Amino acid sequence: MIHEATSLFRLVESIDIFVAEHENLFSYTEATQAFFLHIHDQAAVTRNSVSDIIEKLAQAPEHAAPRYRRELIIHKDRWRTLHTYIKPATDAHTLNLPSPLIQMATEDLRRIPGMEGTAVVVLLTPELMYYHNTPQSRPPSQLAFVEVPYSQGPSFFTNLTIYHELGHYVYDSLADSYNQSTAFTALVAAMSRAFDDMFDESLKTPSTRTWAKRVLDAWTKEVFCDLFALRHLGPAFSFALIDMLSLIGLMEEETEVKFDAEHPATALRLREQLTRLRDDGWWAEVQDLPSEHVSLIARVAGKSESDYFFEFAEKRLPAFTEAFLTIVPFIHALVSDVTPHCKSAAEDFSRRRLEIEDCFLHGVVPSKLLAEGEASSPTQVSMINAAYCFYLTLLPKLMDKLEGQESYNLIHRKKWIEKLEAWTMKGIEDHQLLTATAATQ
Amino acid sequence: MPTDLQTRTQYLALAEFCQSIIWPLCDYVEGTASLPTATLEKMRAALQSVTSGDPYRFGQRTAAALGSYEQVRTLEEVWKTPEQINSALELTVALLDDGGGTADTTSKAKMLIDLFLKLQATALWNFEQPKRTTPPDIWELCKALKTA
Repeated sequence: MIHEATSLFRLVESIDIFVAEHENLFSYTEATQAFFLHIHDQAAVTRNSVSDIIEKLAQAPEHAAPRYRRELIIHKDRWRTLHTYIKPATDAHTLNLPSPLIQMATEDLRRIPGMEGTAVVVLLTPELMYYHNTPQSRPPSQLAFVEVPYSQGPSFFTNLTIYHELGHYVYDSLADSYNQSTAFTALVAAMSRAFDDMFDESLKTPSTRTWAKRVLDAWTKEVFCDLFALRHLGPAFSFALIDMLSLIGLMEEETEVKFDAEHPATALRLREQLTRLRDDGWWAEVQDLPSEHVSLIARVAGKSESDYFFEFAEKRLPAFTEAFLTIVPFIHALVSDVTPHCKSAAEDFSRRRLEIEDCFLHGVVPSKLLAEGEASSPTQVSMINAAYCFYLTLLPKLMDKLEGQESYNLIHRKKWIEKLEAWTMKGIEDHQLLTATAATQ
Repeated sequence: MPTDLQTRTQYLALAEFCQSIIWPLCDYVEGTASLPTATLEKMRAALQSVTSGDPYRFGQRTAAALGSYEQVRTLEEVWKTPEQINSALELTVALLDDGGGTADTTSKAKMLIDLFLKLQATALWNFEQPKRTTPPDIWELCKALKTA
């Protein structure tokens, strides 16, 4: 066992050094620095524990060896899991991140009661997918972990989907809260009711009951996360989600109405997003855009409920989708309850959109807009949505103004999308600076 | 987190839960500590939630042991019948009622340690082997649907 303990000791030591070296080489967000501090602390704890195990084992009776061995295995498995976080975290230095977006997301999270100290740790994952992540090493609870595909790190539009992943963190935090809100307890009651109405008493096996509940819970969380993101980002979130799902082949017509054990059907997700966009005044602003994204949302959201299906082990289970539909209104109520600060975001967009688009059309960062001798800054959400609308509809107009640029040339197009993303990020960064400056005056 | 890694960490959490029971019970058996009543109470609550059929609670996180599908499935794999789960629960309750100090309590504690060592071994094995968790009993599920 001394060899196993030494191997673990060396592994922990090497991770500890690896993290320290990266801290010296690159700049990281405060949240990532806090995570690294946690890693250093854990490394110290493990080194002491492993030494302690070996010391005690030497004095313990032979029959006690298995429990020491198991303790060592658990330490190893914890580090095996933690090992998968370290590289993605060290890769996510500030040059590889859309820092203004992360800053904006952090500020939005902190507006939610009980989350005033939250910080976002970004991990750059080799998967082409965004995830919310909860390390098993019990990091400080105020750290929200989000995995971003490494290829998308510095880009802007697709990274808007991190708001969905942050929704998972918010939902889990609401569940952990000692003082759950009325809206949350009403949602939980609706889920229990839906489950009880679905099954009779013959469903007894604990694992089968657990699985069935988890399916309803997973769908509930997914819709909550979509709506949480939408409340903060407006239609730009739906556009980004469509772009991301298309990139990974999940926007096919055949699968639009299909639920799986983890996700509700895209048709239902977009339907609820559309409902939210209408209620929040966004849809009226974008519904007439000559964009495939807009018509896609309208078409897919319009799919009939009777077309929805959930198939598991080659068996269709319509009772699940029927039960879930009774839960959905309570998810909307919860999202409204936790995001009252997002209510009037569409109004600023309605007022400023054309001016912001005009800035982009002239290659100008829309940090401040001039109006009758004074300058004011549009909201970050207005800038993001105007930028996405511009990307979807006006990019060719910008490119047509420039000599040698063709809107059907993918190399040219890519270049101007990146410029647009950079202007948007700069606008957001300026907004953050202006707000911070105003707060200190 | 990709689903397979998320799943695997559930097994690790279960193994940690077992360790949190095994270790103080071993100390008790060896006479170096008193009966870990707080741990046993926690275990009783967890086992009761399984025997009642509802270990998974809506609106609660499943990071705790015996709350997620993977953890409950592992428990059913090791303790194959509801009677075995019940007997683990009965042993726990009996230990709590005894309060410790007798030879009978020590023997019950040893039996409980054995049960949890087996559960822990399977949890650690499942963590090692990133295979898909066995699906639920779809036949039972469909039969219990009120609309079936």
